[in-house]
Amino acid sequence: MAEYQNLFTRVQVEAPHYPGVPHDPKGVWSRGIKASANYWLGKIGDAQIGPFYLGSTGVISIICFIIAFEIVGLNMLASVNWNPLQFIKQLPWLALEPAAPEYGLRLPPLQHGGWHLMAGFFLTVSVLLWWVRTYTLARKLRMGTHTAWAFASAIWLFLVLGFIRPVLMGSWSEAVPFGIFAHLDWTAAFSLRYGNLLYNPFHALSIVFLYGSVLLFAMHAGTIMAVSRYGGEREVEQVLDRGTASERAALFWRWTMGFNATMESVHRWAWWFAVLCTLTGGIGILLTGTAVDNWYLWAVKHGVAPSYPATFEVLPDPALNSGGAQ
Amino acid sequence: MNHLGRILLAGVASIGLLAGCGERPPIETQQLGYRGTGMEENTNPRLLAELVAKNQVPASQPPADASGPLASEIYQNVQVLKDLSVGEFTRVMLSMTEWVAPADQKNCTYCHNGENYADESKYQYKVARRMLSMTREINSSWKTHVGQTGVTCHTCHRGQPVPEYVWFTDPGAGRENAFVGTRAGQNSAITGLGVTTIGHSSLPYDPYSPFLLGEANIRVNTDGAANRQSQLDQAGGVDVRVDGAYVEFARRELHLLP
Repeated sequence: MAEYQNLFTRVQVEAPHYPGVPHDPKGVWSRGIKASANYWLGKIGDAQIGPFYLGSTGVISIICFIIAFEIVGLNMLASVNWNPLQFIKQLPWLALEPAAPEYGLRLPPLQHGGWHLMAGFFLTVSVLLWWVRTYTLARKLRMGTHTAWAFASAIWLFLVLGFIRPVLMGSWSEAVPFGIFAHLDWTAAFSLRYGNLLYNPFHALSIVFLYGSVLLFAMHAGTIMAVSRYGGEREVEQVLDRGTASERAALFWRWTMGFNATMESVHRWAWWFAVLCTLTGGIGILLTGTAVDNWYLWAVKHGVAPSYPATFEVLPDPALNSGGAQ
Repeated sequence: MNHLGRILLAGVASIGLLAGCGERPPIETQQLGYRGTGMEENTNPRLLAELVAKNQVPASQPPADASGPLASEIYQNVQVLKDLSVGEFTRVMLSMTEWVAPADQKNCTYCHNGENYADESKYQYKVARRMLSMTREINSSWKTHVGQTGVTCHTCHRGQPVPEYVWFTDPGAGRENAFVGTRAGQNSAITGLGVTTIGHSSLPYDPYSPFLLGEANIRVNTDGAANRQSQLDQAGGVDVRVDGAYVEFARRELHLLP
């Protein structure tokens, strides 16, 4: 069994909970009176659990999420005649579908898309309140609000998919169903309907940032773990000295590619890659069907993709003559 | 166990797992489209041979003499094949037995009452008569679709009383009127229709009805980069019917459809 070569991960100190030195004025700095510790959580992170700061936004957010979750789950359960066994067996296939196209942006009956709208509403409220929570908690701790804005980028994509684009298209039926395979099939059908989403340049950008995030994550995490034997995870305090983890890590990348990020800039890179992934993805989805109807033909028109020669005999378009009509 | 041993073990385990899914090689690939576009057809020669063997056209009955008295003058209750001679009529009957009747009942009484061949009581008799009407309708009124070749019972039946690839409407499809839990005609893992038509996806499991019975346009892609949907809509609901002949027949002759 491999051993961690980092003192701080290998050793767990078990002791009575220590609330820290007294502070005045009393602020948000309480480390928690009722906090407990968990040995197994200590294996992957800090062993301490709590304090958990919920606040009114947190409470309402959780309630709204539970409502949305129940609407989706109970509709799924009802669709298998309330049979729990079938519910488990068919769960990947089950879904709550949006309204049929004929309802447009009107309010459909509950069973014909109303439940979907309602679940979407409560889920959106829940997510937005959770965003408020990440923002206010960061401000309370006098932190920057980078986490909140990164989260906002993901919410942007979520809102484009479920609200903004359906409104622009004039139909709730454009929204994504709530279901495991259902949303995957939606994605495949969406791409086919609009002439292959892979030719959508914003989709391409989104993939660049997604895979880029993965690459940066692997490079950064790998680097820091590789120098954790020299205390590399302590980062900033090491920057000035010679022979430190920080200097070795920087030298490793200069040896490798002649350039290295700094302890600070690598996180800026990672943040922007993560944020731009959903930001560009949302733009790509927003343009699909509203501005561009066929991404492949769009790409051909703008010289992005080649126009392939026909390999089969060109047949008359059956839609343009009456041969197939009744 | 050392590192190399672990890697080897993992490799062997992966191969074992891979062997459990998919069909046994060889897979032959034939390029169908322009190079580099991945337009290829994958076939397994072993499975293809089985498929070809299952779909051999049976030898046809020897041609019959068109002269002589009409079947409708000799036999009772001939409703559809009135214009055939007795020889032609018998040839069709023999062919139908070969093409349609199940393997263990290749005889006249699969459809007919052995006591009285004009008796309409058997279900198969009624179905056969309607199927004959349909075949004649397709071959006379839908030449743009079936050309000079036409269709016979064998086109679909392939020696089985119910063709293997059959389409029918699912009465349970569509959006039910329950208060909760409507599936909207999709999201089913166990529907028989779903298994044959949509693989194991959660897509609508009656994908044909909108095109065969309804007016839905089968084309979803537009032929321009920008918004062309409105132009398609303005084209007057042009519909690309997969099989208009059946629809027309079902509507007029069988009164199945509104």
